[in-house]
Amino acid sequence: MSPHHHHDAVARRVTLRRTVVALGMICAFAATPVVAQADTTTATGTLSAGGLSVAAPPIMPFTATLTGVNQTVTTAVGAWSLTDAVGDGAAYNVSVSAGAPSIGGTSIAGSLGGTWLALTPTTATADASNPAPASTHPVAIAGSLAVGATAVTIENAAVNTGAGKWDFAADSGAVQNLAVTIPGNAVPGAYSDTLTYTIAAGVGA
Amino acid sequence: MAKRPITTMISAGLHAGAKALPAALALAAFAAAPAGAAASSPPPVGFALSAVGTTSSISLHGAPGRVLHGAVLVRNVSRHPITVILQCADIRNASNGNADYVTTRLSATGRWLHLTAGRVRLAPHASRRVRFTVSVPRAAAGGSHYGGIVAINAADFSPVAARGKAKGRKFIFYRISRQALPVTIHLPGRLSRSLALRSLTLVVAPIGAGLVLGLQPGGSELTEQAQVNLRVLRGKRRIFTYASTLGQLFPGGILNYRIGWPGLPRQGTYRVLGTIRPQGSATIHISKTITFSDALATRLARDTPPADQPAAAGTPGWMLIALGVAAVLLIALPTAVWKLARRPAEHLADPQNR
Repeated sequence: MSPHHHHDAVARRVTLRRTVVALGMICAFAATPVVAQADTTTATGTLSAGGLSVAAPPIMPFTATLTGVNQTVTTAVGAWSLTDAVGDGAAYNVSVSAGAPSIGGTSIAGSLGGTWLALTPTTATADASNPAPASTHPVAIAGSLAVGATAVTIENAAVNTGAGKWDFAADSGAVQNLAVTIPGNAVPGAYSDTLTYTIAAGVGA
Repeated sequence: MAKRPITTMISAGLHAGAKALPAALALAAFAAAPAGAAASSPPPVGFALSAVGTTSSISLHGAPGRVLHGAVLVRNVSRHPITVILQCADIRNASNGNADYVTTRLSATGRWLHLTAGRVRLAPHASRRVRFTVSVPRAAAGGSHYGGIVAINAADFSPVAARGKAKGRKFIFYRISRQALPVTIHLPGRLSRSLALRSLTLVVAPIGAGLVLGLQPGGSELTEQAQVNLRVLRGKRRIFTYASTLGQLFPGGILNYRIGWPGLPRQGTYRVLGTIRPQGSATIHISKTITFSDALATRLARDTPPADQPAAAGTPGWMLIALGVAAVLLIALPTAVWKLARRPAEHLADPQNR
């Protein structure tokens, strides 16, 4: 065998070997999905209903100086949130009530009147973790609402709206959504009150 | 649940004010720092209350003299141990409709409810089922009766206890987050709904003047909602119109629904016309005359601070836009005149035109 013929034979063997390897790899890739299809796994699980919850906002403290006449002081409402993890699409609402204001532990409800607080509800935005469409947010009751011992509804979610977690931004800048009326004849001192936020589903039929 | 106190200091303008001011500032500084920090993000929710066997509300069927059974599930959704307080509640009407859950001095359906545990301690992510019974009185009327079960994080109350021990921190406001489950007890009997307007008055309060509708829901089941449409006239001039929808109305109690008066009413008589359309019962037609007396005007002037007056009754929106356009024109006109005045001089100064 001439050197030329020997070189050709080696080249053919190399080419043949490469072709076999390539075909083998193609077959291996082609077989993979067939194997996967033949060995499926079914994932199962149960999702149980959660509940409705609300995290009430902090309210910015403030100071005021008596002037001898009635005055209104506004203060900022902090961020708050509500969550509807029930998953049944039922309507729900959030209401707010205020306890009797007190000074040094003594109730002074009479001197400040029945409604000395007024709250302006704000619009909810979907939490970053909530894929619900923005249009399905709970709806804020319009206007400034008197808050007293009897609760007042501030947010309403109609049927099939309000699912997931919704955030209410903290007041900022000039926006201060809680108005506190201080009578001119109030006595000086440190006052306290309790705001109670309640979330509940609408009553079923 | 994270919670910060709210503190309101009122100091006197003269001597007493001078004495109170340092204390006020100190207290405000104490209270303001954490509240301000907390204002940026809502506090986490620590637990969830849900009904067992149903979803968001509990519905039971029974008869007078029977004892009904149910259960609620309390889950700790936090990484920390938590104590949840459970309370039975009466349902009365919130001032603009929907349920107001009252847990003190129970006098209605809330008295029928009995929880097997009033306090539940839960490990992180643990849950506990709490059973309850409903003892229906023999004399209970037919129809639907409404109560509730309310859950509160015990931590919401801990600052109250701290207030008693620490004298320096006794001037504190609190916030409480509650979760409530409505419980409806259906008893045999005819179901009916009604809504009556008992009164319509013009009242003044520190937050301003307003119309108050004294509404009395009746019958033996709740009214889902009621549409309110009103217009208030002075002579033939329309003062304002109002449209809204009241939430669920529960039979048996009165609600005083307040409609804020935009701006300040003037002395004289007003005509209130409109309708209240409750779902499932007769429409209420309103045609009443109310008087804003001199006494009320005096009281309003005394009770309502000037800063509290709504600005809405002043300048209309279109006028603000017109004023804005006028301002732009006022700026643009002298500029245009000045540019036109300069143009011939520049033309003459151009060497190519000489």
